[in-house]
Amino acid sequence: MVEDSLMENEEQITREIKHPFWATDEKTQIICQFHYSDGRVMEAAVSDTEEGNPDWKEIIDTFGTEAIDASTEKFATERENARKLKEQQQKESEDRAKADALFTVKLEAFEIPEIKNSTDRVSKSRIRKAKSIMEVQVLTTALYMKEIQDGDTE
Amino acid sequence: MEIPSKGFLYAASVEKKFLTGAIYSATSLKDYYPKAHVTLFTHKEWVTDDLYNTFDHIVTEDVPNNARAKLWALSRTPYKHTVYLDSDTEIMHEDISTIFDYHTKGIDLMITKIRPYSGKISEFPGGNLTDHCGMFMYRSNKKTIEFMQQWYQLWFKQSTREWNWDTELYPEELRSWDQWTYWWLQNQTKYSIKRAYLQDDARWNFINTYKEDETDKPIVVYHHTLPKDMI
Repeated sequence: MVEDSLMENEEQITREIKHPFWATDEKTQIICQFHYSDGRVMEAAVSDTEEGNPDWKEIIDTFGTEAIDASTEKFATERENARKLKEQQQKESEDRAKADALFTVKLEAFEIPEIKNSTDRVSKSRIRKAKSIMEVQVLTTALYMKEIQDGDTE
Repeated sequence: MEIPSKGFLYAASVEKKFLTGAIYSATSLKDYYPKAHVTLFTHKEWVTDDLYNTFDHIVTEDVPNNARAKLWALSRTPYKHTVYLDSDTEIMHEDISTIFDYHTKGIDLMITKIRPYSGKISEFPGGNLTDHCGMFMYRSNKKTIEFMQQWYQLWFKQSTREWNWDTELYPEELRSWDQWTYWWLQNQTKYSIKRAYLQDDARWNFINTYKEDETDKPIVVYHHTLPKDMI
């Protein structure tokens, strides 16, 4: 009884092959998904064999090589676009981190009393416009020295 | 000194970094627009003589120690016509001196648009945040001042969890945003005011996450982000 019931269940489960594309330039292997009626999805690599692989035959018969060519190209384009997007997001993130670091250094420069209270607007503007942390440091030092010297002279 | 009818407003509270940022921003404002009249709302214990090198008018009385002290300050502006600037902004162009010319007649508030790709949260089931509240210009008419008062009062209830809402429509993560309070007042209450967007708005509030092609004109107000770990 138990065995019958199990067999009955197994017989009821069907599977559908979806999203096939060539895994090799030689078109000797196909990557696809097996969608089972119980909800499972399995990714599979299918190759033909000497004695003939029924899965391979099913894929070729169902989709045809032209459709697999097209989905392979589509998949490659999507993968390339995803790679470019990731690369771009990473660059933007790095650029933002750099810009934030630069802004932090500029704020710190303006917390130095000699800089904050300086009436030399041209030099202060140069610090704000500096494009690198090193430039901020150089310009801040120059203004700091000027303010110290002016103070000594007075 | 007499206070002119038009001016710029900053607020700094809770953390000293907001004062540092406000000084930085206001200094850049004065560089490009030396005649600009600038008011700062902050705490008495933070005021030093040198602050008056940058700010023309400093208000400390009753300023709340609140992350959104700006909202408290808005209705207390000394100007008839105010430009509010976040303390992490920087002025980058002399066109800032023309900003008051861009206030459309009959409009209470001129503001800039949020770019969904740039905002942390903009769309939610009950609507979407459209206006960026880090820089705007407003007239001190009765309706607008009442709106600003309500903005702070509702924000206070929002931050203390006295005000709760249908989180199916409006996610709980909106709670930390004053832009959410603003959205609610504008869209769900009788306090809404007439607002319009500044022409070529990106150049008037260019957020550091915006794409370069958002404007082909020189950026006037650049919006940084104050570092979290800065004291």
